[in-house]
Amino acid sequence: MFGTTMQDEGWTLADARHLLDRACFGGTPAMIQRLHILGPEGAVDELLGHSSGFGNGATSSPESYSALAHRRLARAAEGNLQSDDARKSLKKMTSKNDRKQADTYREFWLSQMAQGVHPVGEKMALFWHGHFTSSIRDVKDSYAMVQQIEMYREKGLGSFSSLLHDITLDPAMLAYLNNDKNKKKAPNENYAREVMELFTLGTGNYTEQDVVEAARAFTGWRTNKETGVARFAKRRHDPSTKTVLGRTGNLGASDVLDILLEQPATAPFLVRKFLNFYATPEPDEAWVAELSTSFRDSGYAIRPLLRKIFLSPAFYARNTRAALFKSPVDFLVSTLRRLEIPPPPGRFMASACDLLGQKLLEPPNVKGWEGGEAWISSSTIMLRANVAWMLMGGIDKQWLRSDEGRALRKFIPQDARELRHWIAAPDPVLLTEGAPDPETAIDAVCNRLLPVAPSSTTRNRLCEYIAPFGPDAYRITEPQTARLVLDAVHMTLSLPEYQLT
Amino acid sequence: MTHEHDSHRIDTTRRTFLRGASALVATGWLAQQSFAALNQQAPQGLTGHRERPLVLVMLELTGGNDGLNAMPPQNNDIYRRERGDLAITDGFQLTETAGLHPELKGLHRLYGDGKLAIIEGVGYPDPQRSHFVSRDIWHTADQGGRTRDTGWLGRLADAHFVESGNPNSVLSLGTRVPYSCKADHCRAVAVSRPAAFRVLGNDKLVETLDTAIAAEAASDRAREFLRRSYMDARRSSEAVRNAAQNHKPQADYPKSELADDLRLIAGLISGGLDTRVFTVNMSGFDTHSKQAARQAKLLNELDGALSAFLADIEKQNSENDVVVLVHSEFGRRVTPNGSGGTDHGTAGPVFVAGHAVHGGLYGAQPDLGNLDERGDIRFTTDFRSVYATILEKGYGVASEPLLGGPWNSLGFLDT
Repeated sequence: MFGTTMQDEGWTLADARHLLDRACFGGTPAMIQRLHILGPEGAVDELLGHSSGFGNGATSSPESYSALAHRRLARAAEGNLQSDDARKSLKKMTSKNDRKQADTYREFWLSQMAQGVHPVGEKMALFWHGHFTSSIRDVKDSYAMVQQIEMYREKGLGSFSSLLHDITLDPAMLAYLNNDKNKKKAPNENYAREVMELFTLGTGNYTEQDVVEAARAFTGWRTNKETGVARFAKRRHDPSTKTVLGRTGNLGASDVLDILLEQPATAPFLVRKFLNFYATPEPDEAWVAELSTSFRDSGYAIRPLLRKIFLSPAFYARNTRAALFKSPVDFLVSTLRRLEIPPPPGRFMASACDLLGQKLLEPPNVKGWEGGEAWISSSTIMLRANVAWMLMGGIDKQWLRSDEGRALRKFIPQDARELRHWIAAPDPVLLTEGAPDPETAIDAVCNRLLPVAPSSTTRNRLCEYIAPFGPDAYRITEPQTARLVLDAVHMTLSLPEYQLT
Repeated sequence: MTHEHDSHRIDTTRRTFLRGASALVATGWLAQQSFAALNQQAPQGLTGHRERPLVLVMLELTGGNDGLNAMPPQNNDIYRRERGDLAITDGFQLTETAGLHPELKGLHRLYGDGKLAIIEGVGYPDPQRSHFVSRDIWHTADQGGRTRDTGWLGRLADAHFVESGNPNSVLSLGTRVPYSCKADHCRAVAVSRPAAFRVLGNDKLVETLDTAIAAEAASDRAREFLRRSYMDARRSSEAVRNAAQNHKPQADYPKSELADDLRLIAGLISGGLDTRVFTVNMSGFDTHSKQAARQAKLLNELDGALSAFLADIEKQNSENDVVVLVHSEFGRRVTPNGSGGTDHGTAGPVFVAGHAVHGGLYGAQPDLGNLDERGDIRFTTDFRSVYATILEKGYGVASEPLLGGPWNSLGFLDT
């Protein structure tokens, strides 16, 4: 069953939509139609291409953090400063700058997800950010953090084997899991443990002794403060014999990584995680086994693996539809894409994700975000509704001054002109496709937004809401009706169905 | 327990609940949900047991708090030799052999006042050095971790809180509910920003949304879970907002996330929310490097927040016995690594603080001369004995069905 490939015959609009939702962050009806016309293979190849054109066409260079390299040099100079006061004031300046740069970068990255040229690559980068985690809270260096994410954006669809080798010497990772402090005399086990438990094998596939021995093999790496790249300090490396997972020798970091890649547990561990992220919370074991074999045989090539997943009939099976909980990033980004509205100004996007439990560059711990059901609680379900309310123009000056407004203030742009700017953004006529009656209008909204049809009760309530004086009095051209339609969009974004993909 | 006291408590529950629920009665769906349950007697054993009902605050230190330095052994050559530069030599001395980290000033004072119990060497057999596996074991009270699909507090809530109809029986601070609270029926509420814990929008919109979501049960598990999360939020939001807004702290809380969380908990307790269990956590204890400075800062923060909280609670004249239990997924290795830090280890102390607590030392100090094959501490008290004490003596319920086996209670609480 799993060896088969989706055929052109029977390829529906709903399939094309499912693919777009999962491969990236959903999109507009026009994008879905284009994918549908391409057929399954054409659609998947188009999406996985280097520049898929499924953004809204906007390109942007990450100029926002061009000052980072400068900041890194300043940090390097820190050590040379003579007086404590000078050091302190430089430190204050650089940490403030770090916060600012991180804020700017989060917003940049989210806007790339929403309308950059390669949303599929951005989603892949988001996956790696949750897999090979590092947090700016511990790394305390925005340059290193940004470089790490840039690596995922650039190479995330390439090879897992290269990523594993690169991340081991990545300065942010070296700092995050203290491998830059791991030296011969008294090894630090942090990286050795997590690389096995969380990055490659999973628990139960290595012993405590393997952790101890691998930690010795990982000794000797540091980050050059001036260049910001890893260097090998031979004096700090333990050159004696180690035994890791049954292999003995004078092993170094790279040797251990190769041993990990040879382990039979690695491919299934990764494949399961890919399937949980892209396809289904409970993948069929036969599917996992088949994909694992080809993933390993290909030398851990990621693009072909995704191609296989996205072309498998199991990916389109009924039980995979609306089966995943949207992450906060997916919730926010897919909302902007589906509603065809530009990213709001200020720090709205990153702040909203933070509010909903996913602060980019700051995963909660080394395991990344737990995902799935854990995204949803009574708190976040309500806050998702409230983010939708903000996006649909709920905020006004009076509310900003209220208790709630104050509690949420840091999440919304302060400038009232900015507010007006994005309140006006969603177009009710576009969203209802100019439908002449409330039922068709609500159907258009739901069809654009939801992965499954809402219940008839939900549909009826929304219809009644946008036509308070009866269906005959419904006129989308009237401002009051337009406002009610935006309310209906706000409610649709708050429904259980919208939290699923 | 007197009759007056009992009936008063039920009234408080009902009043709080009604206040929170009023907005939903109009929409109809709440009525069928819970009012029947509300009119039943509050379950015996929870209110009929202690004179003042127990409120448990589970405070988890994530990352693995170094218990050995939080409670530095006194007059112990092995400790000083092994820990070297990292050894704490200027802490408080509690007994001949037991000490306390110098930053734990407030806890030391509580210990002197007999309001702090410390259970030493708490762990479990076959210790797991993975943060996540070990946390799961603590949260489920089961060596199999998440093979068990409920948490120990979730099972407590399912068995004993569900009938009260109070939607806030178990409340977690933050956007997430920890696995310990995972329940089949009595789900925990998560509260991250109480002032904004409300569905925004005009009345008509909110009413429409309520009925659109709540009108009928969903056919699949995921949608039903989302629907119930929304309903939980709606049922609890007004009560939470009111309680939080009316709170006037009676203590100076320091500036920290934990202090903010504990201040909110104090507000919710004094605001009459009738929550039986709160969970809150503090992260950052994974001190593989620069441990001396980092742990000192963290313990200082913990100590300041906790001291302010307990002072606040005492002055609020709460009708409840509020007990804070501080734990971590594991302690750290005895021998430091070469980065000025320590790697993942095993057992550590559990702190239990509050007015109703019998202060003192419990369990037994781990023997540094008798380490396990990895050179790690052997646990002396199983963490499930600590849980059993909370269940048996704190809540007056049988612990065996909830913990999947018999565990001895300790003496840090009275029945």
